[in-house]
Amino acid sequence: MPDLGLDTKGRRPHFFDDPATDAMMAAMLQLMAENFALKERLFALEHVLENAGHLKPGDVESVDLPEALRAQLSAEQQAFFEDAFRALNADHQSPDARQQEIDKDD
Amino acid sequence: MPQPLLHDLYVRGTRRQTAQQDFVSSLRAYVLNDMANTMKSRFENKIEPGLRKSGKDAPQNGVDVHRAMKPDNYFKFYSSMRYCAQEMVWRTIGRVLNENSTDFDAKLSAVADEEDTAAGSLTLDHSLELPKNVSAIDVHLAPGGYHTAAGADGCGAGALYDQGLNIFSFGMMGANLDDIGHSMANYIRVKFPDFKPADILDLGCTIGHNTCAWAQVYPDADVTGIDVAAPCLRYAHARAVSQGTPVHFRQMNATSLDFADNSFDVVFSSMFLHELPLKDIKACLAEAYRVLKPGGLMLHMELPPNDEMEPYDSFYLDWDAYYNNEPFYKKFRDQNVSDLCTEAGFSTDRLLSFITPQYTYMSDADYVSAVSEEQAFDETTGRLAEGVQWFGFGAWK
Repeated sequence: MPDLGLDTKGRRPHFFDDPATDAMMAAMLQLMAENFALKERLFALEHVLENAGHLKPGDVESVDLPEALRAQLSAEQQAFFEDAFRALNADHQSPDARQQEIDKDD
Repeated sequence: MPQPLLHDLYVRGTRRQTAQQDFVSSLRAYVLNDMANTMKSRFENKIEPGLRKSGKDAPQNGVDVHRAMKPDNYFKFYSSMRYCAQEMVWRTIGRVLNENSTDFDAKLSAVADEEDTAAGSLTLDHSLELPKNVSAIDVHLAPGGYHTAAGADGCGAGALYDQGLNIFSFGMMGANLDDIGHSMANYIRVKFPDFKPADILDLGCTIGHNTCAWAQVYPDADVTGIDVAAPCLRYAHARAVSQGTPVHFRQMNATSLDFADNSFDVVFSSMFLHELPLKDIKACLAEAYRVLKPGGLMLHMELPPNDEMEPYDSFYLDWDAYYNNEPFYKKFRDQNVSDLCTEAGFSTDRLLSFITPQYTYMSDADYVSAVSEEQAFDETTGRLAEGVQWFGFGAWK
């Protein structure tokens, strides 16, 4: 069977005043889908481990992570915040302002 | 979680893809149930009173409501999320089919080997010109539409439609996606027990999911499904063979049927007319009249007409016309369906119109009881959400 295309032809409507918001929505929902798939896999993994006798019900809920692991998790969480919210902290510049800067005489 | 389809062509993706499909299906259920209810409540409690307060006229029709809703943030979120979910339906299935093409081809070959035991058939017309309303538009935002997605010789567009519909319908169209066919055919069986159709025709049948329902409700009938899209018909044939349901599939345009006058006892369609330009709708109905035997029934399952709905409910159903690549949808809903039938040649005293609950989700006895009284148009008519009811119209010749 030949490959199916994945993109719809034609112009995509935007519902928010700025089409960028609609693009953000598409990205966010895709991320949510991926997040759900990961969660489902974790559930499945725990189920497999329980059935194999490697994990008892409640083990994951009650386990205390070692200090080193908690520190690693905390650092990763901080890095995640910085990655996810990087645009909030940036000094924004409009394309026009950037153009002016480029065109400015030395 | 979307259930595996009840035939041999179902292709399962990876665990991750299946979980994503589950998410998309649930997202659609959330948008079309929860968010839709909140949006209506916002209109009734905030937007419409706001219009009155500012001295403006209350919306008289769906277009007025649409105009009033567009600036509302909740409408923007609802629409943006619904549009994204629709794209995700096709995208996730497209990837699964592309990544499993060898598996799909093997399933198709296995079904083809069963063909000797099936009493159906497939007849394609390679010279048939695709109408522009099919070739120019990716209807329902499905990449490649019904016809081009996998080339003229493949049936990928059919697979995309079938397995996409399974995600799209979030379990509301029956395990075999044939609830509409069963609801319509069983309504006729229950209401007209003496009517025993021998020849049944389904117009614009796509993958034959609702065509097969007629063959199951009337097992002694000879059932034919036609469509312009070869990829869908190839898939429809394999799907029907896989289920052991005998149906003849033929590539044909419903506006110009290659059947003799007085050939059929039933001419049916489901969710078909609203995808056609008005001139083609009229041609289809005229052809239906021509090929029907005297005493035969033309029956179309369709979206309810705008003039039967409250302005908000008209607006709500017409969303697809504006944002789901279904440009003829609203114009169809603006028609008077009785006038369409009489213009095609049917007598005014032979018209039929009804609303039916879904057959699939109740016992036969409960269904017989449910249709014993006439149902009125309301917000559940034609709206894919909890409590949906289907609208049918047509006429006896």
